[in-house]
Amino acid sequence: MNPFALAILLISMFIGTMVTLTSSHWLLAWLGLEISTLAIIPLMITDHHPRATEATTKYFLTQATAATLILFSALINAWNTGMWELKELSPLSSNMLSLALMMKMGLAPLHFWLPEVLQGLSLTTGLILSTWQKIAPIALMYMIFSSLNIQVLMIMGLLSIIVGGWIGLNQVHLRKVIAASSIAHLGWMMIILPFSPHIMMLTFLIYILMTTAMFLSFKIFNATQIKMLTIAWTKMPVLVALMMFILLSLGGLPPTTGFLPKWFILQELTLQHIPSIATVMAISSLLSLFFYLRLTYALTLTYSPNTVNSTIMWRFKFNNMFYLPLMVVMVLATFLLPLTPSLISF
Amino acid sequence: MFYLSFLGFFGFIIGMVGVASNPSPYFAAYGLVMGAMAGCWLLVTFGLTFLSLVLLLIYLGGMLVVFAYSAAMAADQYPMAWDDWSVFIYVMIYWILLLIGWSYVEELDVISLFENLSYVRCDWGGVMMLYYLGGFMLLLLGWVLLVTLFVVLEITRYISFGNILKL
Amino acid sequence: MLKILFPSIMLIPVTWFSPNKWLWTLLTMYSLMISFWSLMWFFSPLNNPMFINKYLYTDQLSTPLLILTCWLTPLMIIASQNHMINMPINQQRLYILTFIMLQLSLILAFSAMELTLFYIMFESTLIPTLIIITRWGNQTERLNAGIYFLFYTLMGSLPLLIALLTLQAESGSLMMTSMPFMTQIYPTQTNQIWWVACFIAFLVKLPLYGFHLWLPKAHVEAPVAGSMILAAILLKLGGYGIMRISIMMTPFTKDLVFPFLVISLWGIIMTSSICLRQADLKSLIAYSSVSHMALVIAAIIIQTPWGFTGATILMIAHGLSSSMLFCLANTNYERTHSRTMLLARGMQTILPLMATWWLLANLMNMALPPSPNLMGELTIITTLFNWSNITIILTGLGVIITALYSLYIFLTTQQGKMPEHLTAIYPTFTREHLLMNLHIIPMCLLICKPSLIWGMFT
Repeated sequence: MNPFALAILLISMFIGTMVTLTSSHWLLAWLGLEISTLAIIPLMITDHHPRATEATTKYFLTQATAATLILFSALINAWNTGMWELKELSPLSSNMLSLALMMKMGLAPLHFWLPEVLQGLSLTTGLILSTWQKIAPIALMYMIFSSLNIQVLMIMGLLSIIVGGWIGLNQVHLRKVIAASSIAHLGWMMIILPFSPHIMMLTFLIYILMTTAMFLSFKIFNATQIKMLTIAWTKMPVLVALMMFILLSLGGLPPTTGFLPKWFILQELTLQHIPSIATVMAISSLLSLFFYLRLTYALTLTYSPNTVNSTIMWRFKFNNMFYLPLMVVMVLATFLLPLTPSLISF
Repeated sequence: MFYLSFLGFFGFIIGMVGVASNPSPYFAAYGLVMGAMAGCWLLVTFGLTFLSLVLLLIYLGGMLVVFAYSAAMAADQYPMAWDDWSVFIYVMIYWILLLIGWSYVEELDVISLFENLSYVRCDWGGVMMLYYLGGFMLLLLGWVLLVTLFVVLEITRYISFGNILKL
Repeated sequence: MLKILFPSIMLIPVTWFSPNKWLWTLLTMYSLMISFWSLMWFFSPLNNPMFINKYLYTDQLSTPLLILTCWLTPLMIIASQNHMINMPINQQRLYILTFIMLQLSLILAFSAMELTLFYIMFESTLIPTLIIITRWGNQTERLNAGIYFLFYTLMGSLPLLIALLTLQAESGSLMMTSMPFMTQIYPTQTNQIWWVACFIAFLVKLPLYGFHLWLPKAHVEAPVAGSMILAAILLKLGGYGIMRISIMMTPFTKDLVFPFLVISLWGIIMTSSICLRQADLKSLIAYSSVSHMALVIAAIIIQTPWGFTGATILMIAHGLSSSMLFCLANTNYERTHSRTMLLARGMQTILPLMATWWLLANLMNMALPPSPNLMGELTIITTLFNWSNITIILTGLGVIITALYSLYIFLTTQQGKMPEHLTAIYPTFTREHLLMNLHIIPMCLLICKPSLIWGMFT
């Protein structure tokens, strides 16, 4: 893509999210969402591959639908209450709005677009889609959390955790696996949102860290399918070993960062006297863990039993652009758990 | 007055059925134009003449883009208009559904609907305030128009090469 | 605590920066030094918790297990030298690094002051163990074994996490030292689920008969070091956890305890009978661990001082003896490349000294007198007999079957005519004899002063 066009699009993506984050007026919030949706579309369709075109079309349609719903519910809210502020919402419009925002992020019953859209994108665009593009909807949810309907959030969140674990089980494509993991993580965030939005933000931050680390590593291996991971160790053995920890961190195993949000969420839920839902969430996160574990098997824990005939590529020069962010994100995504006390005090 | 606005509603429905009956894209764009014009006419009957004029202009501009897009990206070799059997079946189905719907809605008082909707008028003052106070919003919207242009250009740029280029 | 923790952490740079030639020697020396240093934990003249700080402490219950952890690391390094000899040097370093991580997380788990820290460290042991089993196992079934291991344990322990968080929400603290002074939670209708959730994680880990299926798989597929640490320490995490948490949960009621008690008593008979028909040596030893752990479960659930004492002794003694049996099984495996007992018979004629170790290990495992195993089993059987006379039928039968399968192992592997295909195997190494000695000597010394491993009620 032409660098000027790319710059304009990236800046608009940034502006869109920022407009949503700084707005206190529904019209502006909606406008920001629309700008960032619009700006990522050419990035998605950069290589005019049938897959990419399909992904772009699906993305555009779902995002447009969701954005219309957002505008509509904001209008209804303005009609009912006479206010355009991003604060209190009437129940009808808050339900509609939360459904629309969940559709934008891809939560369970409205998630069907996400795996297929992510599958059609390049890894970098996929990274943007699954991290940056979720900031604005999450921020809107955060701002209106007090008037959200707890039942809706609970049901959608639980459904997302289960469905996210479930659809990841039979995928061979890495981007679809990441989509499944994104659905499951968002489910955790939605459940905790009405009780403690701060924990939700922490969960979201850690989700971004882990997903970024995973996408950047896949980018270095240039891997899009599980079978490509099995030869990844020929490219960069150290990264292969560290990737295992990132995957287990995504699965939420204790000594890694991924356990931190789960721990806080479960603690908050037990404090609110709903340990049954906490148990169901914890157990169904094992579904996700299973496919992460399968990735680690392909990546790290098995190796070729006999001598490899292909060229060893570890002297091959990679694009150094990704190294520094990858290292930073990798450390944060795996070894943050000992810093827990300072993280909860913010 | 009632019949004039009925005309608007009727035209709106015809336009929407025209789009929804799944003809070739550029015929569907005609349906959209029809719907847009009827919708603007409805606004005129509510007394919002200036707004409806602006809306019509913007809509027609947008429709031009849609038309260009559909003509460029999804041109069929054998275009199907509404006289085509497969499209016509849809038209019939929608009309039947609409008539069934009509029989339920009939007893609603259209005039009272108008009175409810006319509350909206008070709020358009708010939109004016928006432009009056939020000057930077105009800037932002101008930027959005630029971005939209870029997006359309970027999407359609490689089309002339066909999909083979990147495969 | 830091006197042990910091040297253990510094084992990591030693692993990466020691010269190739001295890698195994240096690490064995260094970790052996740490384990000798850890013996000072035994010194507690007043029988009260020692080395207390905000996060960690040791007491009579955790000290023996901590020292066993430190002791096992050099033994694992010694035992797996032959296993790793053909690997690239970096992989050897990575392998040792895994042991060190395991040692660190086990030390933190056993000495944790808070139940949350205990839980986190309890789970942290999963990753290194998973790596040992699935990365350095030999057969393809190891992948399946890894999944079984991880998911059995997690399925049991996630409810424990919720239960602990609930407890924290109710009582405000999870400090182990303050737990005896908290209001005890009586098992009402709603608390019963909480009660089971607290127990089930440890019962899966121990494992209780019925939750044990992951254990033989993991043992069979793991390399020798994995089997050693699994049998010696990781199972004991479960027993340790139950003893710690049961302070909160007294008094036990009949309808909650009886199912587990019955299953564990029945499991003694069942698993040791399974041993009698095993063809796979490592699987046999694994099942024998399950049957011994069933005794431990029964003793802990009875909740008497004698029961706790017996359970603690048996955990330590079984840790050493089963680890030794796995080492012996590995010496056979390295020579015959098969775990099948029928293919490696009559080893006494070619490896006579090894036959001595086999004899000693079997005698220890079936609890013959000068061994701490006897002391543990005797205490446990006495406890159970005191609780209900009928249990002597089950425990007695269990002891007899244990003797039977110990004899079965010894006769099958050591006695009889040696098959033709075994004539070309290489002789024993000094390293292997050293390894066996390092298992036997502590057991012989412990019986001289058993109060060291008597646990909380000395």
